[in-house]
Amino acid sequence: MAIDEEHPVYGPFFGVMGAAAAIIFSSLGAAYGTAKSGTGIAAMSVMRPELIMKSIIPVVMAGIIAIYGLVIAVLIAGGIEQPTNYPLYKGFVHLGAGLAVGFSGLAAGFAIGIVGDAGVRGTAQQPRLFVGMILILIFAEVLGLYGLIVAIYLYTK
Amino acid sequence: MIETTPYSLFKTVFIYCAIILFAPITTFFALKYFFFEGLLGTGSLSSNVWSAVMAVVVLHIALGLFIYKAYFEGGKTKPDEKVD
Repeated sequence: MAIDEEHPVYGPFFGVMGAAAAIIFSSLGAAYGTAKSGTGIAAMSVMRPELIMKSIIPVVMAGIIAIYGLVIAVLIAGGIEQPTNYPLYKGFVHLGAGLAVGFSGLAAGFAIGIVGDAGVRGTAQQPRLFVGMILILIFAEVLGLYGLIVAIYLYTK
Repeated sequence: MIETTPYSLFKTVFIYCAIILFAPITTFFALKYFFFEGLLGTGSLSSNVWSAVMAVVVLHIALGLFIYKAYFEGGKTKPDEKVD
């Protein structure tokens, strides 16, 4: 197959940008979530160090957001080929998949960071808040999962 | 009730975090190369997608285990004895 209108030389550019966007934006969200809830943990642990195990949960959940991005970035990177075998359509689909998981991860990471910070500080004073914090964190986490589902669905087009 | 020392706490958190970080990656590549492409001979696209789905499922199982452990066993240490 040769370079033509449907297989332009810049076709893979979109796919590469999709893979990069997936991991960059999910990592941004995960980094914000880790840092924001990390300050909460550091402030809380001074008085209640026995709660560290419980308060690590927002950090772990923020890390999972980055794994979502990693999964999609690896999938897209595995699908990128030479321009002659890579139609422009596939590039667009890969770009869409990467942006879907990337920006959902960014949003979910922001939510996890803010909820984790306030939740961890609150749990130190009222331990019954823990269940509520976990529930809110799970609802923040599924925002990233929705992006992952849409991205996988787009990738299989 | 088991006394929680800083070392045992670190060990627990470290083991769970290692599982959460490495289990999905191992699952993805092991399923893709040995199970789907090796054993079943599935195509590249579908084996990729199913490996990714299974990796995410394994990830959530590991996260659920961690939350379970933290909920039922975390923070059970006695507060330090008050010293006058």
